[in-house]
Amino acid sequence: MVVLRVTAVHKGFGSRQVLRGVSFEARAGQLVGIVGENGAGKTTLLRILSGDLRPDDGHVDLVGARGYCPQYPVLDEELTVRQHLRLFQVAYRLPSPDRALRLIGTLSAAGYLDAPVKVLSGGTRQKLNLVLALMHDPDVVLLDEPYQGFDWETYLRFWDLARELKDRGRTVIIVSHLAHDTERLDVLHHLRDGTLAPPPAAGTA
Amino acid sequence: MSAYLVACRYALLAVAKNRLAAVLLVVFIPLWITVAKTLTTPKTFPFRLRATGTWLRAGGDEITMISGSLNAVSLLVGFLMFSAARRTRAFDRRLTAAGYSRTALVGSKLTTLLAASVLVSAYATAWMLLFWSPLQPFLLGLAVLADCLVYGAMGMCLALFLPGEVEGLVTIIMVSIIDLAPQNPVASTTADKALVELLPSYGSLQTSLAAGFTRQITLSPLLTHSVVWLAVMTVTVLAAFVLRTRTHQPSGRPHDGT
Repeated sequence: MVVLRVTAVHKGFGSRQVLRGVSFEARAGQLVGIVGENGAGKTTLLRILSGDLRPDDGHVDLVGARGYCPQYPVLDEELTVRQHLRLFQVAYRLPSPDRALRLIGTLSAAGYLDAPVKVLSGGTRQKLNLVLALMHDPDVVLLDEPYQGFDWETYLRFWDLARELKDRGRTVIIVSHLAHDTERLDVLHHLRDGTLAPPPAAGTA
Repeated sequence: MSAYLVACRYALLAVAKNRLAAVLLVVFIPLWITVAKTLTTPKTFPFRLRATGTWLRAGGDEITMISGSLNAVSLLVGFLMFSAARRTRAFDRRLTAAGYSRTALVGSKLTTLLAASVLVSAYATAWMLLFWSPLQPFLLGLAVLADCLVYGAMGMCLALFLPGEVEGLVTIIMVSIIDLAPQNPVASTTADKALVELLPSYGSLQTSLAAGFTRQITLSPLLTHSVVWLAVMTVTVLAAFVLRTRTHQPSGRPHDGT
Protein backbone atom coordinates (compact mmCIF):
# COMPACT_ATOMS: atom_id res chain seq x y z
CA MET A 1 0.00 0.00 0.00
CA VAL A 2 1.23 3.48 -0.87
CA VAL A 3 1.30 5.52 2.33
CA LEU A 4 3.08 8.59 1.03
CA ARG A 5 2.56 10.20 -2.36
CA VAL A 6 4.38 13.39 -3.25
CA THR A 7 3.18 15.03 -6.45
CA ALA A 8 4.99 17.82 -8.31
CA VAL A 9 6.01 19.70 -5.17
CA HIS A 10 7.52 23.15 -5.77
CA LYS A 11 9.04 25.40 -3.16
CA GLY A 12 11.01 28.62 -3.44
CA PHE A 13 12.40 31.15 -0.99
CA GLY A 14 12.37 34.59 -2.56
CA SER A 15 13.84 34.31 -6.04
CA ARG A 16 15.57 31.00 -5.24
CA GLN A 17 13.62 28.00 -6.43
CA VAL A 18 14.64 25.07 -4.19
CA LEU A 19 12.23 22.35 -5.27
CA ARG A 20 11.09 22.25 -8.91
CA GLY A 21 8.54 19.49 -9.11
CA VAL A 22 9.48 16.67 -6.77
CA SER A 23 7.40 13.52 -7.11
CA PHE A 24 7.79 10.13 -5.48
CA GLU A 25 5.87 7.44 -3.64
CA ALA A 26 6.65 5.30 -0.64
CA ARG A 27 4.95 2.12 0.47
CA ALA A 28 4.31 0.60 3.84
CA GLY A 29 7.37 -1.30 5.03
CA GLN A 30 9.85 0.57 2.85
CA LEU A 31 13.12 2.20 3.83
CA VAL A 32 13.52 5.14 1.47
CA GLY A 33 16.65 7.24 1.21
CA ILE A 34 16.85 10.75 -0.23
CA VAL A 35 20.38 11.94 -0.84
CA GLY A 36 21.77 15.09 -2.36
CA GLU A 37 24.49 17.63 -1.96
CA ASN A 38 24.48 20.36 0.66
CA GLY A 39 21.79 22.89 -0.19
CA ALA A 40 20.02 20.57 -2.63
CA GLY A 41 16.71 21.06 -0.80
CA LYS A 42 16.55 17.81 1.19
CA THR A 43 15.61 19.49 4.44
CA THR A 44 13.06 21.70 2.66
CA LEU A 45 11.46 18.60 1.17
CA LEU A 46 11.32 16.85 4.55
CA ARG A 47 9.88 19.94 6.23
CA ILE A 48 7.12 19.94 3.64
CA LEU A 49 6.44 16.24 4.25
CA SER A 50 6.30 16.91 8.00
CA GLY A 51 3.78 19.73 7.60
CA ASP A 52 6.27 22.31 8.85
CA LEU A 53 6.27 24.12 5.49
CA ARG A 54 3.58 24.52 2.86
CA PRO A 55 4.57 23.77 -0.74
CA ASP A 56 4.09 26.59 -3.27
CA ASP A 57 2.63 24.08 -5.67
CA GLY A 58 1.93 20.36 -5.80
CA HIS A 59 0.66 18.23 -2.95
CA VAL A 60 1.50 15.60 -0.40
CA ASP A 61 -0.78 12.70 0.49
CA LEU A 62 0.16 10.80 3.59
CA VAL A 63 -1.67 8.04 5.42
CA GLY A 64 -1.50 7.66 9.18
CA ALA A 65 0.61 9.35 11.82
CA ARG A 66 3.91 11.09 11.07
CA GLY A 67 7.03 11.18 13.15
CA TYR A 68 9.48 13.93 12.25
CA CYS A 69 13.08 14.14 13.44
CA PRO A 70 14.45 17.57 12.44
CA GLN A 71 18.04 17.99 11.28
CA TYR A 72 19.07 19.94 14.38
CA PRO A 73 17.69 18.81 17.73
CA VAL A 74 14.67 20.92 18.65
CA LEU A 75 14.58 20.60 22.43
CA ASP A 76 14.15 22.74 25.54
CA GLU A 77 17.62 23.34 27.01
CA GLU A 78 16.30 23.68 30.56
CA LEU A 79 14.25 20.47 30.70
CA THR A 80 15.54 16.98 31.39
CA VAL A 81 15.25 14.03 29.02
CA ARG A 82 12.49 12.56 31.19
CA GLN A 83 10.55 15.85 31.13
CA HIS A 84 10.75 15.88 27.33
CA LEU A 85 9.36 12.36 27.23
CA ARG A 86 6.52 13.39 29.54
CA LEU A 87 5.59 16.41 27.40
CA PHE A 88 5.56 14.35 24.21
CA GLN A 89 3.66 11.53 25.94
CA VAL A 90 0.94 14.14 26.59
CA ALA A 91 1.26 15.54 23.04
CA TYR A 92 0.87 12.13 21.43
CA ARG A 93 -1.73 11.08 24.03
CA LEU A 94 0.16 7.91 24.95
CA PRO A 95 -1.08 5.98 27.98
CA SER A 96 2.47 5.17 29.12
CA PRO A 97 6.05 6.22 28.38
CA ASP A 98 7.18 2.59 28.04
CA ARG A 99 8.02 2.69 24.33
CA ALA A 100 9.93 5.96 24.72
CA LEU A 101 11.93 4.51 27.61
CA ARG A 102 12.68 1.37 25.60
CA LEU A 103 13.94 3.51 22.70
CA ILE A 104 16.09 5.55 25.06
CA GLY A 105 17.51 2.26 26.37
CA THR A 106 18.14 0.94 22.84
CA LEU A 107 20.11 4.08 22.02
CA SER A 108 22.11 3.81 25.28
CA ALA A 109 20.82 7.06 26.73
CA ALA A 110 19.07 5.72 29.85
CA GLY A 111 21.84 7.16 32.03
CA TYR A 112 20.85 10.68 31.01
CA LEU A 113 17.14 10.54 31.81
CA ASP A 114 17.35 13.10 34.59
CA ALA A 115 19.98 15.36 33.02
CA PRO A 116 18.90 18.70 31.56
CA VAL A 117 19.43 18.97 27.81
CA LYS A 118 21.90 21.85 28.21
CA VAL A 119 24.51 19.50 29.71
CA LEU A 120 24.10 16.75 27.10
CA SER A 121 26.56 16.07 24.29
CA GLY A 122 25.49 16.62 20.67
CA GLY A 123 25.10 12.87 20.14
CA THR A 124 22.86 12.42 23.20
CA ARG A 125 20.70 15.38 22.17
CA GLN A 126 20.33 13.74 18.79
CA LYS A 127 19.22 10.49 20.46
CA LEU A 128 16.48 12.36 22.31
CA ASN A 129 15.59 14.22 19.10
CA LEU A 130 15.12 10.85 17.40
CA VAL A 131 13.17 9.25 20.25
CA LEU A 132 10.69 12.14 20.26
CA ALA A 133 9.99 11.33 16.59
CA LEU A 134 9.54 7.60 17.19
CA MET A 135 7.93 7.24 20.61
CA HIS A 136 4.33 7.21 19.28
CA ASP A 137 5.21 4.48 16.75
CA PRO A 138 4.20 6.55 13.69
CA ASP A 139 3.22 5.01 10.34
CA VAL A 140 5.57 7.28 8.40
CA VAL A 141 8.89 8.28 9.95
CA LEU A 142 10.69 11.30 8.47
CA LEU A 143 14.31 11.49 9.53
CA ASP A 144 16.66 14.33 8.58
CA GLU A 145 20.30 13.25 8.96
CA PRO A 146 19.21 11.15 11.95
CA TYR A 147 22.55 9.68 12.97
CA GLN A 148 24.63 12.87 13.21
CA GLY A 149 26.96 12.67 16.19
CA PHE A 150 26.24 9.00 16.89
CA ASP A 151 29.13 6.77 17.83
CA TRP A 152 29.57 3.59 15.79
CA GLU A 153 27.69 1.39 18.26
CA THR A 154 24.68 3.73 18.31
CA TYR A 155 24.85 4.09 14.54
CA LEU A 156 24.46 0.33 14.19
CA ARG A 157 21.61 0.30 16.70
CA PHE A 158 19.93 3.02 14.70
CA TRP A 159 19.92 0.78 11.64
CA ASP A 160 18.61 -2.14 13.73
CA LEU A 161 15.81 0.16 14.81
CA ALA A 162 15.10 1.24 11.24
CA ARG A 163 15.00 -2.42 10.17
CA GLU A 164 12.63 -3.25 13.02
CA LEU A 165 10.29 -0.39 11.98
CA LYS A 166 10.33 -1.62 8.40
CA ASP A 167 9.58 -5.19 9.46
CA ARG A 168 6.52 -3.93 11.30
CA GLY A 169 5.24 -2.23 8.15
CA ARG A 170 6.33 1.29 8.98
CA THR A 171 7.69 3.56 6.25
CA VAL A 172 10.98 5.26 7.00
CA ILE A 173 12.20 8.19 4.90
CA ILE A 174 15.82 9.09 5.60
CA VAL A 175 17.46 12.21 4.27
CA SER A 176 21.24 12.29 4.11
CA HIS A 177 24.02 14.10 2.33
CA LEU A 178 25.92 10.83 2.15
CA ALA A 179 25.00 7.84 0.08
CA HIS A 180 27.08 5.29 1.97
CA ASP A 181 24.19 3.38 3.53
CA THR A 182 22.53 2.54 0.25
CA GLU A 183 22.65 -1.20 0.76
CA ARG A 184 20.42 -0.82 3.80
CA LEU A 185 17.71 0.99 1.84
CA ASP A 186 14.92 -0.32 -0.35
CA VAL A 187 14.77 2.78 -2.54
CA LEU A 188 17.25 5.59 -3.02
CA HIS A 189 16.36 8.93 -4.58
CA HIS A 190 18.86 11.59 -5.63
CA LEU A 191 17.75 15.16 -5.20
CA ARG A 192 19.50 17.31 -7.77
CA ASP A 193 18.60 20.73 -9.18
CA GLY A 194 15.32 20.68 -7.29
CA THR A 195 14.03 17.44 -8.75
CA LEU A 196 14.45 13.75 -7.97
CA ALA A 197 16.44 11.73 -10.42
CA PRO A 198 14.61 8.58 -11.54
CA PRO A 199 15.09 6.09 -8.70
CA PRO A 200 17.74 3.55 -9.50
CA ALA A 201 17.66 0.24 -7.69
CA ALA A 202 18.98 0.50 -4.16
CA GLY A 203 22.68 -0.14 -3.83
CA THR A 204 23.51 1.01 -7.31
CA ALA A 205 23.97 4.66 -6.48
CA MET B 1 -2.23 15.36 35.01
CA SER B 2 -3.70 17.58 32.34
CA ALA B 3 -1.72 19.07 29.47
CA TYR B 4 -2.02 22.48 31.12
CA LEU B 5 -0.63 21.32 34.46
CA VAL B 6 2.30 19.47 32.89
CA ALA B 7 3.19 22.48 30.69
CA CYS B 8 2.79 24.87 33.61
CA ARG B 9 4.94 22.82 35.95
CA TYR B 10 7.79 22.56 33.45
CA ALA B 11 7.53 26.20 32.36
CA LEU B 12 7.78 27.36 35.98
CA LEU B 13 10.65 24.95 36.71
CA ALA B 14 12.57 26.22 33.68
CA VAL B 15 11.98 29.88 34.59
CA ALA B 16 13.12 29.21 38.15
CA LYS B 17 16.45 27.98 36.76
CA ASN B 18 17.22 31.35 35.14
CA ARG B 19 20.29 32.30 37.16
CA LEU B 20 20.74 35.82 35.85
CA ALA B 21 17.12 36.61 36.70
CA ALA B 22 17.61 35.12 40.19
CA VAL B 23 20.66 37.33 40.76
CA LEU B 24 18.76 40.39 39.53
CA LEU B 25 15.92 39.53 41.90
CA VAL B 26 18.04 38.92 44.99
CA VAL B 27 20.67 41.63 44.48
CA PHE B 28 19.56 44.22 41.95
CA ILE B 29 16.08 45.04 43.30
CA PRO B 30 17.15 45.63 46.95
CA LEU B 31 20.26 47.47 45.76
CA TRP B 32 18.32 49.84 43.51
CA ILE B 33 15.71 50.53 46.19
CA THR B 34 18.38 51.05 48.88
CA VAL B 35 20.48 53.33 46.68
CA ALA B 36 17.46 55.37 45.60
CA LYS B 37 16.25 55.80 49.16
CA THR B 38 19.58 56.51 50.85
CA LEU B 39 21.52 58.47 48.24
CA THR B 40 18.90 60.80 46.78
CA THR B 41 17.71 63.95 48.50
CA PRO B 42 14.86 63.72 51.00
CA LYS B 43 14.00 67.34 50.11
CA THR B 44 10.33 67.58 49.15
CA PHE B 45 9.22 68.54 45.67
CA PRO B 46 5.83 69.84 44.58
CA PHE B 47 4.39 68.05 41.58
CA ARG B 48 1.01 67.64 39.93
CA LEU B 49 -0.32 64.10 39.87
CA ARG B 50 -1.51 63.98 36.32
CA ALA B 51 -4.04 61.20 36.91
CA THR B 52 -6.03 63.18 39.46
CA GLY B 53 -4.93 66.74 38.72
CA THR B 54 -4.03 67.30 42.38
CA TRP B 55 -0.83 68.94 43.61
CA LEU B 56 1.26 66.87 45.99
CA ARG B 57 4.53 67.28 47.87
CA ALA B 58 6.80 64.30 48.33
CA GLY B 59 10.42 63.54 49.21
CA GLY B 60 12.80 63.20 46.26
CA ASP B 61 14.14 59.97 47.78
CA GLU B 62 10.69 58.41 47.94
CA ILE B 63 9.79 59.43 44.39
CA THR B 64 13.13 58.10 43.12
CA MET B 65 12.64 54.88 45.05
CA ILE B 66 9.24 54.32 43.41
CA SER B 67 10.63 55.09 39.97
CA GLY B 68 13.74 52.97 40.61
CA SER B 69 11.81 49.96 41.80
CA LEU B 70 9.52 50.12 38.74
CA ASN B 71 12.67 50.29 36.63
CA ALA B 72 14.17 47.26 38.39
CA VAL B 73 11.07 45.05 38.24
CA SER B 74 10.38 45.94 34.62
CA LEU B 75 13.91 44.91 33.62
CA LEU B 76 13.74 41.71 35.58
CA VAL B 77 10.33 40.43 34.48
CA GLY B 78 10.86 41.70 30.92
CA PHE B 79 14.14 39.83 30.65
CA LEU B 80 12.79 36.69 32.34
CA MET B 81 9.83 36.39 30.00
CA PHE B 82 11.91 37.33 26.95
CA SER B 83 14.41 34.64 27.81
CA ALA B 84 11.71 31.98 28.36
CA ALA B 85 9.82 32.86 25.17
CA ARG B 86 13.00 32.88 23.07
CA ARG B 87 14.17 29.55 24.48
CA THR B 88 10.94 27.73 23.69
CA ARG B 89 10.20 29.35 20.31
CA ALA B 90 11.13 26.35 18.13
CA PHE B 91 10.30 23.76 20.78
CA ASP B 92 6.69 24.98 21.12
CA ARG B 93 6.30 24.57 17.40
CA ARG B 94 7.51 20.98 17.56
CA LEU B 95 5.36 20.22 20.59
CA THR B 96 2.17 21.57 19.01
CA ALA B 97 2.95 19.82 15.71
CA ALA B 98 3.09 16.59 17.76
CA GLY B 99 -0.41 17.31 19.05
CA TYR B 100 0.12 19.28 22.27
CA SER B 101 -2.86 21.50 23.08
CA ARG B 102 -2.06 25.07 22.07
CA THR B 103 -4.55 26.35 24.62
CA ALA B 104 -2.69 24.45 27.35
CA LEU B 105 0.67 25.85 26.23
CA VAL B 106 -0.66 29.41 26.02
CA GLY B 107 -2.27 28.96 29.43
CA SER B 108 1.04 27.83 30.90
CA LYS B 109 2.81 30.89 29.48
CA LEU B 110 0.25 33.30 30.87
CA THR B 111 0.38 31.51 34.23
CA THR B 112 4.18 31.85 34.24
CA LEU B 113 3.86 35.56 33.47
CA LEU B 114 1.37 36.02 36.29
CA ALA B 115 3.36 33.93 38.80
CA ALA B 116 6.65 35.70 38.04
CA SER B 117 4.95 39.10 38.22
CA VAL B 118 3.25 38.37 41.54
CA LEU B 119 6.49 37.09 43.08
CA VAL B 120 8.68 39.94 41.83
CA SER B 121 6.19 42.69 42.63
CA ALA B 122 5.53 41.35 46.13
CA TYR B 123 9.29 41.16 46.76
CA ALA B 124 10.00 44.66 45.47
CA THR B 125 7.04 46.14 47.36
CA ALA B 126 8.20 44.44 50.57
CA TRP B 127 11.65 46.04 50.15
CA MET B 128 10.09 49.46 49.66
CA LEU B 129 7.99 48.98 52.80
CA LEU B 130 11.18 48.38 54.79
CA PHE B 131 12.23 51.97 54.09
CA TRP B 132 8.96 53.79 53.87
CA SER B 133 5.28 53.72 54.83
CA PRO B 134 3.15 54.60 51.84
CA LEU B 135 -0.40 55.67 52.60
CA GLN B 136 -1.84 52.77 50.55
CA PRO B 137 0.65 49.84 50.48
CA PHE B 138 -1.75 47.43 48.75
CA LEU B 139 -2.38 49.88 45.92
CA LEU B 140 1.39 50.36 45.62
CA GLY B 141 1.83 46.59 45.25
CA LEU B 142 -0.89 46.48 42.61
CA ALA B 143 0.83 49.25 40.62
CA VAL B 144 4.16 47.38 40.74
CA LEU B 145 2.38 44.17 39.69
CA ALA B 146 0.88 45.96 36.68
CA ASP B 147 4.34 47.12 35.59
CA CYS B 148 5.68 43.57 35.90
CA LEU B 149 2.84 42.24 33.75
CA VAL B 150 3.27 44.95 31.10
CA TYR B 151 7.03 44.38 30.81
CA GLY B 152 6.69 40.59 30.98
CA ALA B 153 4.29 40.70 28.03
CA MET B 154 6.66 43.13 26.30
CA GLY B 155 9.53 40.65 26.78
CA MET B 156 7.42 37.94 25.15
CA CYS B 157 6.64 40.32 22.27
CA LEU B 158 10.32 41.18 21.75
CA ALA B 159 11.15 37.45 21.63
CA LEU B 160 9.10 37.26 18.45
CA PHE B 161 11.77 39.05 16.46
CA LEU B 162 14.96 39.61 18.50
CA PRO B 163 17.43 36.76 18.04
CA GLY B 164 19.55 36.65 21.21
CA GLU B 165 19.43 37.28 24.95
CA VAL B 166 21.84 40.22 24.68
CA GLU B 167 19.63 41.98 22.13
CA GLY B 168 16.59 41.35 24.30
CA LEU B 169 18.20 42.56 27.51
CA VAL B 170 19.62 45.72 25.93
CA THR B 171 16.30 46.55 24.28
CA ILE B 172 14.38 46.08 27.53
CA ILE B 173 16.89 48.26 29.42
CA MET B 174 16.61 51.02 26.82
CA VAL B 175 12.81 50.88 26.72
CA SER B 176 12.60 51.00 30.51
CA ILE B 177 14.92 54.03 30.69
CA ILE B 178 13.07 55.88 27.92
CA ASP B 179 9.80 54.94 29.59
CA LEU B 180 10.54 56.01 33.16
CA ALA B 181 13.01 58.91 32.89
CA PRO B 182 10.64 61.46 31.31
CA GLN B 183 7.90 60.58 33.81
CA ASN B 184 9.86 61.09 37.01
CA PRO B 185 8.56 64.31 38.59
CA VAL B 186 11.94 64.93 40.26
CA ALA B 187 14.22 64.30 37.32
CA SER B 188 12.15 65.72 34.53
CA THR B 189 10.20 68.85 33.85
CA THR B 190 8.36 67.08 31.03
CA ALA B 191 6.51 64.81 33.46
CA ASP B 192 3.34 66.77 33.02
CA LYS B 193 3.25 66.66 29.20
CA ALA B 194 0.33 64.76 27.65
CA LEU B 195 2.63 62.42 25.72
CA VAL B 196 3.83 60.72 28.91
CA GLU B 197 0.41 59.08 29.08
CA LEU B 198 1.44 56.88 26.16
CA LEU B 199 4.42 55.39 27.99
CA PRO B 200 4.12 51.77 29.20
CA SER B 201 4.77 52.54 32.87
CA TYR B 202 2.52 55.61 33.02
CA GLY B 203 -0.32 53.74 34.74
CA SER B 204 1.97 52.13 37.28
CA LEU B 205 3.92 55.28 38.15
CA GLN B 206 0.80 57.42 38.54
CA THR B 207 -0.88 54.78 40.69
CA SER B 208 2.29 54.28 42.77
CA LEU B 209 2.55 58.03 43.44
CA ALA B 210 -1.14 58.17 44.35
CA ALA B 211 -0.67 55.12 46.61
CA GLY B 212 2.34 56.68 48.28
CA PHE B 213 1.11 60.17 48.93
CA THR B 214 -2.71 60.25 48.83
CA ARG B 215 -5.55 58.40 50.50
CA GLN B 216 -7.50 58.43 47.26
CA ILE B 217 -7.98 55.04 45.61
CA THR B 218 -6.79 55.87 42.10
CA LEU B 219 -7.27 52.90 39.80
CA SER B 220 -8.03 54.71 36.55
CA PRO B 221 -4.38 54.98 35.29
CA LEU B 222 -3.98 51.21 35.71
CA LEU B 223 -7.29 50.44 34.05
CA THR B 224 -6.98 52.88 31.17
CA HIS B 225 -3.24 52.61 30.46
CA SER B 226 -1.54 49.51 31.93
CA VAL B 227 -4.43 47.21 31.00
CA VAL B 228 -4.41 48.52 27.41
CA TRP B 229 -0.64 47.99 27.09
CA LEU B 230 -0.97 44.51 28.57
CA ALA B 231 -3.91 43.60 26.35
CA VAL B 232 -2.28 44.82 23.12
CA MET B 233 0.96 42.97 23.77
CA THR B 234 -0.71 39.79 24.99
CA VAL B 235 -2.96 39.68 21.93
CA THR B 236 0.11 40.22 19.69
CA VAL B 237 1.94 37.37 21.41
CA LEU B 238 -1.07 35.05 21.19
CA ALA B 239 -1.68 35.86 17.51
CA ALA B 240 1.99 35.24 16.70
CA PHE B 241 1.89 31.96 18.65
CA VAL B 242 -1.14 30.77 16.69
CA LEU B 243 0.47 31.76 13.36
CA ARG B 244 3.81 30.19 14.18
CA THR B 245 2.42 26.90 15.40
CA ARG B 246 0.30 26.31 12.32
CA THR B 247 1.03 23.04 10.58
CA HIS B 248 0.10 22.15 7.03
CA GLN B 249 -1.58 18.80 7.23
CA PRO B 250 -1.08 16.72 4.10
CA SER B 251 -4.35 15.80 2.43
CA GLY B 252 -3.89 12.20 3.47
CA ARG B 253 -6.24 9.57 2.10
CA PRO B 254 -5.36 5.90 1.81
CA HIS B 255 -4.13 4.73 -1.57
CA ASP B 256 -4.32 1.27 -2.85
CA GLY B 257 -0.94 0.20 -3.97
CA THR B 258 -0.48 -0.64 -7.61
